[in-house]
Amino acid sequence: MDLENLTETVNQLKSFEKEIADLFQKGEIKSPVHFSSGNEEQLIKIFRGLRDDDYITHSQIKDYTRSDLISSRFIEIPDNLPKTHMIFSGVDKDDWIFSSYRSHYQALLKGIPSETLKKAIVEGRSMFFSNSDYKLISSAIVPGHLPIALGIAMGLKRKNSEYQVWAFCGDMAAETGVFHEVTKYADNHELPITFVIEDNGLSVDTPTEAVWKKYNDHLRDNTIRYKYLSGVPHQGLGKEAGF
Amino acid sequence: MSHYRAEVTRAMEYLADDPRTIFLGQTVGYPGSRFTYGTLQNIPIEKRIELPIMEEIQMGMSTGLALGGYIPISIYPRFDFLLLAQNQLVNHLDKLEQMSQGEFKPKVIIKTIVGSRSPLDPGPQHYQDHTEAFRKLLTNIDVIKLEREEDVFSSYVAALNSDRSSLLIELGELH
Repeated sequence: MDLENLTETVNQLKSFEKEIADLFQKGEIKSPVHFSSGNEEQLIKIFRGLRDDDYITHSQIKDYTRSDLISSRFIEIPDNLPKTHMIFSGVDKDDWIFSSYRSHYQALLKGIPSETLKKAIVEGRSMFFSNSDYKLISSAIVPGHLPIALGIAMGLKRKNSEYQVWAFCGDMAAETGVFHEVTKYADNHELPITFVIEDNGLSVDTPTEAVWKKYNDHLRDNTIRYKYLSGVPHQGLGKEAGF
Repeated sequence: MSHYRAEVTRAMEYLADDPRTIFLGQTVGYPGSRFTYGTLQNIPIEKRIELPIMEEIQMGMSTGLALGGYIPISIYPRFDFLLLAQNQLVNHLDKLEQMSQGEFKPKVIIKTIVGSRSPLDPGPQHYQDHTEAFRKLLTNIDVIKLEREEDVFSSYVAALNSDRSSLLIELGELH
């Protein structure tokens, strides 16, 4: 995918999800599928590397409503990050990617061939798609992938590797104790990992802020966040399905 | 030192001689438990990572280190504490090979201890033996209970040479 061509890449991501949705609609996929929609531009920019027009800093966010942030597609980053930080250089092909149960876009942007991903999804592995050649692991347990990502980052640091880890998770995952522990440990030990909170405000259909009453608005130096309005149901195409 | 603990110490030092191994957990770098620190004192400190209390994170971290080429010896000073790591143990380390169709097969050696009830009785949160429950929970991790001192060293050697993860359960009353 050409990450410099935003429009074309957005369309490629959407087309892939449409193709999978059509297969799901026809009953050709016998397992749960969590589609993505509405966060294409933010993810492309993160994989490409953030540029000045792509982000706002944490201290600036108070001037924006959630709706503003969704429509602007800004990425929220911590204050005073040096330009040498990995978020400005983007994802290297040898970096590790960790994702939640919703990983199709991350997989495609990492370079995994669409046919490889499609085959895995059709075989029932959308929720925990993993690929060793492209160093991508996802988990169907929230937020089970984060501690594993932390271990990879620790190993990379001990080996003085130049590569890094990117750990994507949802907004409810970012409120958990596990998230608090892994981001704190990684930050304090200066591990080569960035956490990306993909904030659609929902966990399944439960509004995260409503049940917690208040978001954790602290942002460590190893964490960035973007807000988006998901254009698809939590699972499948919206029809209730038992699994 | 009991013969049993001497065998555990010998096994730990054998594991430490392998450049791929790394020891992590609580009381691996600081004193606090004869079952753990007491068997690791001769191992170079750079091979021991003392962790905060975060049992689930520790198990996930161990899996990640294994995926990165290490053989982690992940130490839980009491079996009761290992219960806090079940998500990472049962849902991830035990299932990752299946999830990835064999592409990821992390090998972790997990060491835990069934607490002793003498000379001090620590109460029911510190001496439970969950061996049989774990045998039912785990499908791809070998569960080995070390009930005889003559099995200790060979069992750890077998775990090091195995291509699977192992959970080795020591008995505090024999330490």
